[in-house]
Amino acid sequence: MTWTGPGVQGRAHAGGLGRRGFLAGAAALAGSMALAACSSASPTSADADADAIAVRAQVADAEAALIAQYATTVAAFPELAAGLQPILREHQAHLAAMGTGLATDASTPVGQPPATAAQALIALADAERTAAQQRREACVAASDGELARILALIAASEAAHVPALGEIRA
Amino acid sequence: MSEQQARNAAIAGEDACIYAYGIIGAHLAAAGQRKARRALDSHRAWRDRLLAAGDYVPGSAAYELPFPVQDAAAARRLAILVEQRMVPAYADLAASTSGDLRAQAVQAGCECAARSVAWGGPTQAFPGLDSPAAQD
Repeated sequence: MTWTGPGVQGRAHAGGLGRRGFLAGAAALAGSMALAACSSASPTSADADADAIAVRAQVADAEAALIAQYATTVAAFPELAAGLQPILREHQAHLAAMGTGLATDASTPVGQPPATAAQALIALADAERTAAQQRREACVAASDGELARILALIAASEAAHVPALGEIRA
Repeated sequence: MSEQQARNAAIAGEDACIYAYGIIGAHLAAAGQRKARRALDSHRAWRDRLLAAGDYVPGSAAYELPFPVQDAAAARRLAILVEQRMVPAYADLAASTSGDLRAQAVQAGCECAARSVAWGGPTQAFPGLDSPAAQD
């Protein structure tokens, strides 16, 4: 099937979106595109930058928590490792894409795993659903177009982890 | 990429998905056919929403399959491919718009990514961007 690869185009053009980005932030807060057009109180670009940094930090924290949950699960149920490691690596890529340079070793298991492997898989699927929802909300609220694009891709990745976890047999 | 360019690309992608699912469904047995039918309905609904959101300049509507589809395995591969390819298209739309249309774009991208995995595709950190299948 031939049609132009939209991903490549997106990467080539995404850089030009910063200027209109902070208007989008007002729109997201109000839940309305019309308000952005009429808004007289546009945030400054410094506000927009601070907003993007805060969103990236928040997403990075959430990804680190997910990575820790996967690491805890793999440590408790080694039989799940083959199925879970690829997903864990994808969360590490999400964390890296936030560019926050976290010093913490996010792969360290923390907390207590669920009693059974089946329960652990259900807990991970719940966490992925929550993560995808949070990323969607952060995407809509993002004041910067390129950040919105990355968050849309991460949301999609996490939404797709749910059916993938359903295929792993405990 | 302007909002209109991104929206046009997403609509063209949805048209390609609708075309592909016609072929995919024809090669699957009952359960797969129902799944293909649901996916087709979803792609039609998203295309209609995108068409309702503004002007659309149709491109050429000639599609060439990336590989011959003559059995169920190839039909599933095609489903995985067309779903994966929609995710970056919707991410571009999310980047170039805001508010309700951005919310719709990110939701649609999530649905496409989940379907590609449900058809047996691999999970990806950035769906449609880091897959060999998406780079041909």
